[in-house]
Amino acid sequence: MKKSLIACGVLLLLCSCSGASDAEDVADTTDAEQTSLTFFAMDTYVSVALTQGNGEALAEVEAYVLGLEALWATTLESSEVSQLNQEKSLVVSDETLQLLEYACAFSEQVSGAFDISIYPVVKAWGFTTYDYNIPSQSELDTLLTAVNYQDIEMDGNQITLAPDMEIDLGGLAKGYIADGIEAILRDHGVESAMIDLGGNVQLVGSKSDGSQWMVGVSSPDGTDILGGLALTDKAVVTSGGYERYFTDDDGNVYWHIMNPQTGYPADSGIVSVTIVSDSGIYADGLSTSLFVMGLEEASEFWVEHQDFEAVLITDTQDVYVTQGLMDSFSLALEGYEVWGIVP
Amino acid sequence: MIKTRTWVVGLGLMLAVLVGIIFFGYPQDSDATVAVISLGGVEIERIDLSQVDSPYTFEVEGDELHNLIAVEHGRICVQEADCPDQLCVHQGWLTDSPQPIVCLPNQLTITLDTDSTELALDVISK
Repeated sequence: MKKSLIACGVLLLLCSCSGASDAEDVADTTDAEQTSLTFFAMDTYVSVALTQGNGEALAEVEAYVLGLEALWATTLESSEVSQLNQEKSLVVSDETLQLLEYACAFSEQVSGAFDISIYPVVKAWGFTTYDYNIPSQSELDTLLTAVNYQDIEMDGNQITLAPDMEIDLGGLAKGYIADGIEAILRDHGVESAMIDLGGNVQLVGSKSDGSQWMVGVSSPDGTDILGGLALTDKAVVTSGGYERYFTDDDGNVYWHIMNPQTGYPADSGIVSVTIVSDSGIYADGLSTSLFVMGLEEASEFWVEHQDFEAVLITDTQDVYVTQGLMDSFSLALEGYEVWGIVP
Repeated sequence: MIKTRTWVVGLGLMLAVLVGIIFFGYPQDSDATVAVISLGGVEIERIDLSQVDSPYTFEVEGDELHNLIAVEHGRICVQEADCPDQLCVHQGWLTDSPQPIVCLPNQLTITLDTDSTELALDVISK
């Protein structure tokens, strides 16, 4: 009885809501006292929570995110990225140019552990369609010849890709957007807020009572909380193998984080990377890159740069925490051992 | 005669309960955990999980996909879904986490309105 009653209620509500878009729903509720905004964009669930109401700021945030989604979504044929992938040459907007320039400079910084031109390989594995498939080595070899960020030509806003190249900005877009949202909020005088783009977290200031935010770090399999990080004013981005994966008939797991050198899912011994940084885009790029690098190379990269902090989890259930996070990290899950990374 | 008396006692009890509810409200569990289910950003259902006595399931129909949601005392999950990635199903039971269950293909979210997480987490990086 209860089941059917609730099911009817759901159906009634659904009927009454059909036809209204997400944007309209949010716009209807926008007012000066509005403290939260949630909607779907960039293939993710966007949530922005303010400790003090500011509907104007939230309305601007939503328009900003939807505007960039229209430029960068590979799922939209009309997006600049889709057009560039199809035409191979396009005059792009300043925002797209800015992200492309960052992407290429960043790929250089991490010595190719990150590459926006890996997209055809990701497609070949079926991660964009969920129609999973293990590509043959010859197919991968062919696809890999077109994977090289250095072959992206930029002449002002005119971007030209190599003949078989396709790009996806998804590995940095959420971080870029989180930084942009933070800037909008700060422009509107917001001093305390939490931005969550499908697990990409950006913290503005501290909580309303002045205390630090407590950010949970997902366990590598995504089903539990490994630990917590007490933080203020930081971007926190995690890349885990189990976010999107499939298993073959022999039980081998293939996840979506690709090694741009091999065209195979990254197999570095690392199963999860959490980056803490002042910059969302840097954290976003690094979480993928350090996953690909593996523990040793990632540790060396941190020692060399020291402009971010990290929590690295290995397949041996060891948790490596960089020096700057040792005081703010607390382990919540049994069976893991915590180690420090120091210069 | 006996029947009438039973009725009077029954009615009296019902009246007392009604008066009690009017003055004191419904009995509240101190660990009230409310699950908020939204589709396409629109709230469609709100369930106080602490008040759930016996498990039940219900379906949520999106434009093309559906999710079967299971509810038990203190917890909620997506039991079945016809989305291609099944990530919402793999997320398992939601009991006290600030991490919502999200089905991107069907634009379904289940969030908890609770203050009682073990680590008092504000958000989860994943």
